[in-house]
Amino acid sequence: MRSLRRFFVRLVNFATRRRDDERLREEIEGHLALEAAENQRAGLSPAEARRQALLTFGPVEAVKEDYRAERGMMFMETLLQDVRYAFHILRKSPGFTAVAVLTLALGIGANTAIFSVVDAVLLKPLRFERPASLAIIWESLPKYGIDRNTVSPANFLDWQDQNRAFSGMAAFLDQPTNLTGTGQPEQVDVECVSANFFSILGVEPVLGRAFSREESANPAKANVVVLSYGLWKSKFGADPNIVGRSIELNGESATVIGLMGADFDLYIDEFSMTHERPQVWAPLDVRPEWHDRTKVGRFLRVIARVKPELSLAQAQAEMNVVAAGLAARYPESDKGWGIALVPLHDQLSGAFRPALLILLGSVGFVLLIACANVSSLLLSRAAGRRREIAIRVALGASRRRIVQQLLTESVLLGVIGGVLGAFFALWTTEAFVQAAPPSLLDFAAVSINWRIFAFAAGVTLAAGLLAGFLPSFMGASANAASALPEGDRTSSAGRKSLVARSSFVISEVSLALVLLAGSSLLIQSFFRLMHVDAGFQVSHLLTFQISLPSPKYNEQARSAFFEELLRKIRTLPGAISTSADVTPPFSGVGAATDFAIVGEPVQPVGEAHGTAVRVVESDYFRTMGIPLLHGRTFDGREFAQQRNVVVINRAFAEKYFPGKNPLGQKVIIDMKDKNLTRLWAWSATFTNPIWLPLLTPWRTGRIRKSLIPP
Amino acid sequence: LFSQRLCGNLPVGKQNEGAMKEKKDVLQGTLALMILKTLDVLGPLHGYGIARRIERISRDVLSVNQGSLYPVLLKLEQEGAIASGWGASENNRRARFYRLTRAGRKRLQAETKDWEQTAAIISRFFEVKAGDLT
Repeated sequence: MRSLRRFFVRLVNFATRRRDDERLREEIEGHLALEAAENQRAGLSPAEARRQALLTFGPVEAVKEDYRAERGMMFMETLLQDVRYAFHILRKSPGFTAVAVLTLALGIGANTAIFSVVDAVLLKPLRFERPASLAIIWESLPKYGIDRNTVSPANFLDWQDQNRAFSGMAAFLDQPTNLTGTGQPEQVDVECVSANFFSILGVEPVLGRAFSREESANPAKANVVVLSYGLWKSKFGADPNIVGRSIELNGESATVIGLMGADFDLYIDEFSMTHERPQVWAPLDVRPEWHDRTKVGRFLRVIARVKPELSLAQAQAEMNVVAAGLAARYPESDKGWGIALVPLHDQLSGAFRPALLILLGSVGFVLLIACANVSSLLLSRAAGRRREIAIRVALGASRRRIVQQLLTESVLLGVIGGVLGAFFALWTTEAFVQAAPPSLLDFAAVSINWRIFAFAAGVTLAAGLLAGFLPSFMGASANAASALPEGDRTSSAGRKSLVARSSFVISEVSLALVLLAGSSLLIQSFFRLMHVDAGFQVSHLLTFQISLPSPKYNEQARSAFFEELLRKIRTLPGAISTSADVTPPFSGVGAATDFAIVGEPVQPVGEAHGTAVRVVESDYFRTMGIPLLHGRTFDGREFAQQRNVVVINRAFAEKYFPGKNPLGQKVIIDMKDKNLTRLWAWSATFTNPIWLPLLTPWRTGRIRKSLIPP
Repeated sequence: LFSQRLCGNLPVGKQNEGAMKEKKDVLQGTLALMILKTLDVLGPLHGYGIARRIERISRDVLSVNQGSLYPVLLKLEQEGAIASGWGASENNRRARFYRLTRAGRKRLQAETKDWEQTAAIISRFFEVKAGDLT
């Protein structure tokens, strides 16, 4: 309390620059007069009386000094004095100042720019209610090293019933859909969601409402949708009466019941079918056959909110129990499968975390190099200032005072560099945002906030202190005797500064070496990645994708459409061959299933062989440039002739038929209703272990076309 | 003697920091208590009067440096323990008179109690003979 009051009085005195030295002067004068009078009464001469009074009083200047220190804030006052002096010194050598400031500005600016991205992606909480309790739930299959997989609908329904760790759990499934009736037909991404999807996220439509339970229970009958803000603006002219309006999706009309706000944005790239952000939400149609685990695969994605009193780890433990129960009950479909909870923030930022941390580390090194550069600049300048410092020491300046002064100079350099660096950072961040992959900034808006400001200020101060640390201490240790005579260049201080400068050079070179090695390793990895044998010829390959609305196109119509389309494309000049498949390679999604080899002992339940499967149109291998080793490829008549044939790759052949001729061997593939299937050929690629001919019962056709100029 | 101190362009600090400072703090603490007690006993008083009174009672403390009283007076004033105002001294000069505030009186009581306790403990400690410790 007492010292607080004293502090405020001093602060006010400092701020108002109160200097009532007059009061002290008068008080001292009065004091001396009284003492002198007393002395005179004791019989001294007036002159002697005054002399004695002065002696008893003590050193007047020291008292004044103490008095001033007590009145104001000595530290602040000397700091102001130092800053003024530092400005003066820096102005005197503009060349040095410009170089040092620019060096620090680059370092600080780069750090601030990268940090602003790190802040947006890794630090800023998501814009949902209590975002830390949101998690994505995946299934996992540890025996194949699969830690995240889409979820079986039957399992999802059981999780909903059996778990006690979540306050809500919703499934979502995106699919490409044709939007018509608004001018040019357009493919939009429709996300089918459980009824509680929006309430789990804690968001509500800005216009209208979300889905009711009844609508979710019978989506086909209700036929309602919620629109995204972006689609509403681009396709519906921001119509204020959009709620209640009817729109046409895949040729069927649906009623708009709600509009999400501009700030609602949840797009999870992993296992997205379309790799597009959702533009329309519709109720998820839980079909009766989804309850049959043996017929229906895994394709749902699940988001859930953990109950407030539980941690994610506790929820994970709870789900482990659920998974074990399901595996025991449904070994044929669930044995070996687990459940993996991923916090929503990790799910969204996970892929970028290491890259961003590497970037932050490298710009940190760049800043260290910048500091070392400025340090050696300061040090070489200190040699020229030894005289000035020696004079100050001779006049009674303490070592601490000199160090404080020199540090003020370097911090001032840092602060000027920091301000310049902030502008540099604004500009760099802009450029970075332009160059960043879209999925990075899907959920993370880079913006200036107090964290970035604090970081920039901290880095600035640290850089200033770091750069000035050694030069200040070494500068202050120059002693008067050795520095005052002109031309003393072999003093111990000079030798020390030489040692310091070479150690700066050594540390700079080693830091640069680390950076260089790191970046060349990264470049090499990138180069190797670019030259990985994808198993097919990437050059001269063009792709596109389309979907056909199911009500309008029945199986035959769809088949005919694709055939006609491929035929027409083939006649284009420059086209060599065309083909189609369902999921393009490296799209992150694909089918996989269990299979058995005829003639082998039957594998126990849950331990069957598994393989990825890709369904392709005839001429696929030629179009993709996949060399055929033995046998033949599909000719397009397999479906008509009801031939069950597949093509396998070399790895598959070597793994399951070592030393045997795989042609003509028979396998049973679960996905194909357990019909006997004959191995047709094997090819020299490793990306797709097994190929099936494209048969038409696929709901949406997705086509890859390849044009290879002669 | 009272001319303005020359302010050079070079910031020059004081050299007597460190150990000197610590000693000064102890002295200042003692002085502060003595000032408060003096003002409590004698009522409002100017700096010289306080100095004389303290000198008379405890010869050694202030004999070196009467001037060191003034920074302590300022500190006490800034802490609110004393207040000051101009008045006329015995020789009819303008003098600054200091008086104890209510907060200052409270502080004096508290510190006196502390001081007496400390003194009692220390004196008892010195009275103890070697034989008593076993």
